[in-house]
Amino acid sequence: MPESAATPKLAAYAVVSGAGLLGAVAFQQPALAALAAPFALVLVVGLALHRSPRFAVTVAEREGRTVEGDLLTVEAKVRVDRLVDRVEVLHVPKAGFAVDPHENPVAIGLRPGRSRTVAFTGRAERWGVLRLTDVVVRTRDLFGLFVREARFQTNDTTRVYPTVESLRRFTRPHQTQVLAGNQTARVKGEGVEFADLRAFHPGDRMRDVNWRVTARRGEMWVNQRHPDRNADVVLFLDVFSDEHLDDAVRAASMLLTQYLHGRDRVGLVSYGGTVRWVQPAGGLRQLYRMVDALIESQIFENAATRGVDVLPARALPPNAMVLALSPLEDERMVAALVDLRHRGRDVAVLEISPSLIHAEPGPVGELAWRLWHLHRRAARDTLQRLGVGVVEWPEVLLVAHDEPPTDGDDDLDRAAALGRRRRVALDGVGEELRAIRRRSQRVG
Amino acid sequence: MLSTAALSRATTVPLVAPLVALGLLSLVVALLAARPIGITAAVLLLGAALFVGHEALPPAGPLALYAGGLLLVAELGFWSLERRTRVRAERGVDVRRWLALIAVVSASVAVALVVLLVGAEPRVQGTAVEAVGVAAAVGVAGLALLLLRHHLPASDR
Repeated sequence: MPESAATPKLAAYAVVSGAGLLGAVAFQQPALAALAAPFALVLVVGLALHRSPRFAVTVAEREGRTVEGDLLTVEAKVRVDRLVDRVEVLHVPKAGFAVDPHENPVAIGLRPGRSRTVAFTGRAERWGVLRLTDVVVRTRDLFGLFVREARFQTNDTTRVYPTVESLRRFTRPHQTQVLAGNQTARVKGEGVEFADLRAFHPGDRMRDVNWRVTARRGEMWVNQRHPDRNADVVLFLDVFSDEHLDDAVRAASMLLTQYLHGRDRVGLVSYGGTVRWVQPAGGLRQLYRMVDALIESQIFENAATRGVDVLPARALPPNAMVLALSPLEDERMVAALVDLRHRGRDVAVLEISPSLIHAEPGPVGELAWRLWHLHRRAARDTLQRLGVGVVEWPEVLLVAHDEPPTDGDDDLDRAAALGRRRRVALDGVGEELRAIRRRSQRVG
Repeated sequence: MLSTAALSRATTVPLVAPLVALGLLSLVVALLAARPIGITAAVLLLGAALFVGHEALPPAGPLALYAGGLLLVAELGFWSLERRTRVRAERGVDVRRWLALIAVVSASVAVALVVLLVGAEPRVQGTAVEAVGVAAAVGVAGLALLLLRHHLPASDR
């Protein structure tokens, strides 16, 4: 509902007019009335002609969805039913959407009954669900004695998706599924990657015969191969702390795109004050579903501890790799990861590291910082002892199983080896990520 | 210009000069500190400076121009305060306002002149005219008080 208010000018003119007229009467000086007359004229004519204008404003955002860094345009169509001095349109600033301050607000001239559209173009600075259709319209009457102001907003939302950076390699799951994909399975079967040799059995295809070995040994030998299969990956997003949620969502978005392009099935678990999940699936629809779920990720403060038991079996299928994105600052998250590992899950952690935090000056600050680092290291070591690979963002982005799967090790060695393999850094990627980090900090 | 006009034929400059100086000071403070009440004070002080220490008032023409000048000072002062909020005005919006300002000031000079001429006419003087004048003054003062009470933000009262 528009609100109308008198400006300070109205009161000032009333004071000057009143003082002048009273002075004229008191001192018998018509000249004082003459000095007050211009102010009284503006006052009388302004009040006589004043009628509160009515606005009709429609606000819309063109795109509906976009990617971080892209331009968005919010349009406000304004119509006023009376003659006014000017119409000022202000786009109410929103976090994550930056309109040039020199372009906001805008004053336009508007004839009664005619419409004008004012466009505000800005850059989507941060992923998320933004409510941009929010403007304030203000009019001044012809004499500047009254202003009328109203706010117009709609419930329309604009989805800003995180930018997807390119990855050269990324973590491979330990176990694969039965459908065809891009992951080399540990089992032997039909595929491309060479696995082993074995003696020929009736029914083997002639194209699999290894003629060089056959000639050397004097009997038929065939090649065995690793089949290319897809895998289930569950991104386990830590939403206990909002300090690192930006980086976590950006990394999750990047990983999600890469895995889905590799025909893997990807799911999401947002683990925090509330637990939400998207069960694993593949394809383009899943990409949109997951990105929508990611950008809606937010922090819900909740002291209650909810274990991973609340997750349905469909959210964490058997043999799925759980790829956690977490700063490892909340003990509940660490406990959940340990729990998952104890249940035999294949777990890896991308640690959204707050490594850029420096100690406060002074011995107490230094001591607190060291304790905090020790606490983090303890959490990391706990996970690594269980065979959970932990890598830091942004120092190292992702890790890879560089070595082929081995058989015959005892469980502990195998787990340790898995952890080591997953700490393999990728050349050059750390630098790229530091640049991304700096860029995102500047935006923040 | 208004200050010069107020000081030009003053018989007791030591009395007029502080008023003019105070008026200018309050105008500067009003513009720098965004206090509209300073503009009101400046107009009242510059208006009062014309009457204090002058044995004979200027003729009707210059006095009407002086009245128009006071209005111009007030209008430009309030416009200046508005412009402290950075608003990108599209072409034509400010031009229209300038034209309106010129029209209002011109009309106000004419009205002031009419008031002076009517006031100088002996036939329109009398008790009835005086009663109308008092009623108008009281009405405007009452309006001012009412508006001050209801519309001004607490910080400006």
